[in-house]
Amino acid sequence: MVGAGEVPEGLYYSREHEWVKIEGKLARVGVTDYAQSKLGDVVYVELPEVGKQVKQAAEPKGKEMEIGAVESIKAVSAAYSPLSGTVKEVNPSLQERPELINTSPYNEGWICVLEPSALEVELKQLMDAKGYTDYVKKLE
Amino acid sequence: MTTNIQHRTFLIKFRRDSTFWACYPHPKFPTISITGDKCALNCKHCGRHYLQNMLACQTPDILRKTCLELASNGVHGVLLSGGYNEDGYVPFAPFLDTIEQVKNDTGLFLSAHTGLVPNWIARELGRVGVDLADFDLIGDDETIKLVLGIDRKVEDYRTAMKALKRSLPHVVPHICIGLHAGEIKGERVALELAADITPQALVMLVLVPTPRTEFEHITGPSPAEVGELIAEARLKFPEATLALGCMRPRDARRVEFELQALHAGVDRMELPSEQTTEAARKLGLQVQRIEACCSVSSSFTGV
Repeated sequence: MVGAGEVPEGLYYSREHEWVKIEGKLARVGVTDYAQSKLGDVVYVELPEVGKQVKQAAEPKGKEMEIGAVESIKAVSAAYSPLSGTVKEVNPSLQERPELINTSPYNEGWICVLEPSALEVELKQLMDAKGYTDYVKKLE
Repeated sequence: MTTNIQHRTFLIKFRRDSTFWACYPHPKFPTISITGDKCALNCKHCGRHYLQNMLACQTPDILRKTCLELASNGVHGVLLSGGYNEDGYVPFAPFLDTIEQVKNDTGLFLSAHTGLVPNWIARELGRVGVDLADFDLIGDDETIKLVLGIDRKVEDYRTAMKALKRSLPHVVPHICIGLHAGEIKGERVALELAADITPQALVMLVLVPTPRTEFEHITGPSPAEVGELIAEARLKFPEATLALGCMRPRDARRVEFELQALHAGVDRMELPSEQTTEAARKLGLQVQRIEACCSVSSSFTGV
């Protein structure tokens, strides 16, 4: 894959390579196409517990910012929450089919749904599709 | 459930070394494919699938540049791998001079996933500075035919493994439990064969029914079967470093496989789950981290 891969318009993106889709008062979250391509074949996804309170990812990273972990054959990477809030729902399909992260990162491979606690403020910390594409170009 | 044999084998491990090593190859110990995603075979458990996750270095020049860059970025070592040729080995011949140069220029720890290399390539791999051979060991002629589809025999595995042992500092047999389409077949013979080289380390793997391969829909071995075989390996090689490798199912039975291996007395595990490291602590083991493949020699700490 060259560059950022697929970067759909209308989503928000974090520096940790998670995407956010606003759905009314809720936010659906997953990892980007770029992130999944770097991970390789995903073989296991650790999901957060429903009800977990998470904080928006920032430096230094902490467990309270994690919404699980994504594991490939030889690597495990924490997934960091792009927003603060409460986990309302997780994607049960990933337990049986972790490869959905690879095959459908923006649709069937979503990780969880959050109820954001500071949406308006925190969205300003995220990037739009163009901003994320530029960000990834600088990493390459 | 822990069996009597596992009580014994765990004690063997615990008395010798009370450390449980959790191995994380990424990002300090990447895997390189010298054939890119090409493989002359189309093994039923892999179907060229796993090559796609490796760093592709299909020419000696790309290999040299990649290794120099990796070393300058703090990488400790690499696993040199790739697809097999029709004789069932990774075609290292055109890369030998480059491997020697990489070793001399970077000092990287070099592991090689070899396959059934002929004697002269085994000798050359040793000469150019490869530290360790990760050797897939199969103990059944029918399994070789079924999975790799080549006309090679168990004796060929013994011959190649012994040639590597004569030439390299370390040879680590890898035995895949359930490789015969999920059945236990040649694993115990493979353990017997491994004894021929008195291995310092042994890696046990578990067949993964990988999507989009011919074994996609097979049912692999049960966690109990895996635990039993690992316990047998521990009994047979009480002094060897015994590991549960990265190739194992990480489905709903993941923790069961890991706990079976833990109770059977493994020293190392690649990417263990949190439940497993917690269980290791409860058993009195000190959990330590290695940033490398689980097969690396004990003298190579990777940190």
